[in-house]
Amino acid sequence: MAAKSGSRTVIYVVIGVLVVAGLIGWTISMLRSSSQTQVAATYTTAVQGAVVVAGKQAANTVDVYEDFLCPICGRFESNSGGDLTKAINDGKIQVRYHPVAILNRATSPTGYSLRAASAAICAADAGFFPAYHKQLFADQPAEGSAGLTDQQLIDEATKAGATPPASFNQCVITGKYKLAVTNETSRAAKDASLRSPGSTGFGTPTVMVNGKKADLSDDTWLTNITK
Amino acid sequence: MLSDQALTDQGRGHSWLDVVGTIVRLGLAAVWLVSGGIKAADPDQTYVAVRAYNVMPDSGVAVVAAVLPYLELALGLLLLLGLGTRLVAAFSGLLLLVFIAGVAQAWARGLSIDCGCFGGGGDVAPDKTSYGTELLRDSGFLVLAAWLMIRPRTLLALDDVLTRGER
Repeated sequence: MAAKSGSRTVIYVVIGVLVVAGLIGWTISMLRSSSQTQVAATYTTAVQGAVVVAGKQAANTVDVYEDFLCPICGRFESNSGGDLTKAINDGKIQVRYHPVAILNRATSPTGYSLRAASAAICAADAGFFPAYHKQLFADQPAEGSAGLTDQQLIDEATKAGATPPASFNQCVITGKYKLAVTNETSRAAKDASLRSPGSTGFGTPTVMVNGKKADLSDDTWLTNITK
Repeated sequence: MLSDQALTDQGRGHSWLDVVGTIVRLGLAAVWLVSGGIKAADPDQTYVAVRAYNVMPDSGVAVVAAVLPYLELALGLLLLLGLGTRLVAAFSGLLLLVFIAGVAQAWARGLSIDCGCFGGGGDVAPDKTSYGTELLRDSGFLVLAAWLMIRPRTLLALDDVLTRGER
């Protein structure tokens, strides 16, 4: 009985299979990250309420609902951020970013989601939204942590390569857009068209393509409209 | 033990314990195939989930998240085929112990494994993780792995085919 499973060939085969499996996984993940587009934003933004409109009016409109504390939104940004930027640059889509704060209670002290969302809109006012938005996700704090302080949110602008004017700093410290973001978050939470079929709630990231919810597990969701 | 082996070599007298072992083996195979399949299908969710346990730096998280789904699929496949059952059961047990340790430490540290992103309608409380259920489930799987380590004898296994020639 012991001889069967213990035979040397079998051991080598088992270990071989596991090693190959690990290598397959590693290769797949390398391919995925090397296919992430890296491109600088050349588009301009406009602020409409609590929405940052990126790029000019285009044939396709994409609405992106994100919470800056949401880890999956961070992944969405690394996977698709470059492709979105390129598509906006090329005038193929117009993206309406809706920073929301569904995870506002998920930091200790609470409130990071709201402050970060407000700061991002402040960045749009000051003209450096694309780089700032990307930077906030690159430096995303963990849920349950303290999040970034207001000063850190201000410093993120410099980190993103911008020279923030004093008005930006003021905007962040006073949390100028917090109320607008709160209202937008409530609106989005009640909007049934933003939910996945069969889901009872609003989650992030939620991406709408021309008014219809996009299935982000489908790799072609963006290429379908940009080709 | 010798007679047990002799009997099955002659193709008769499979003990009922062999049947139980087969069910256990296929059950554990299903666990790994489903778990690995779900992880492989959603690499972002896997990355986020591994990161939430907060036990290693992001570079380590990336490696684990990349490799783990395929490791699980491989364990599932080997168990399905019944190849190297005792060894694969040992690896399974080891992996399950790592999972149990991970969940236990997350529970103890009050970490939230559920990111809360798929929320309920507005402001979401992030911690809906049921640690107790997870631990219970993983412990159950550990029992399956332990059975196969102690008694890897099963029916419909490649182990039988490969070692038949070794006399």
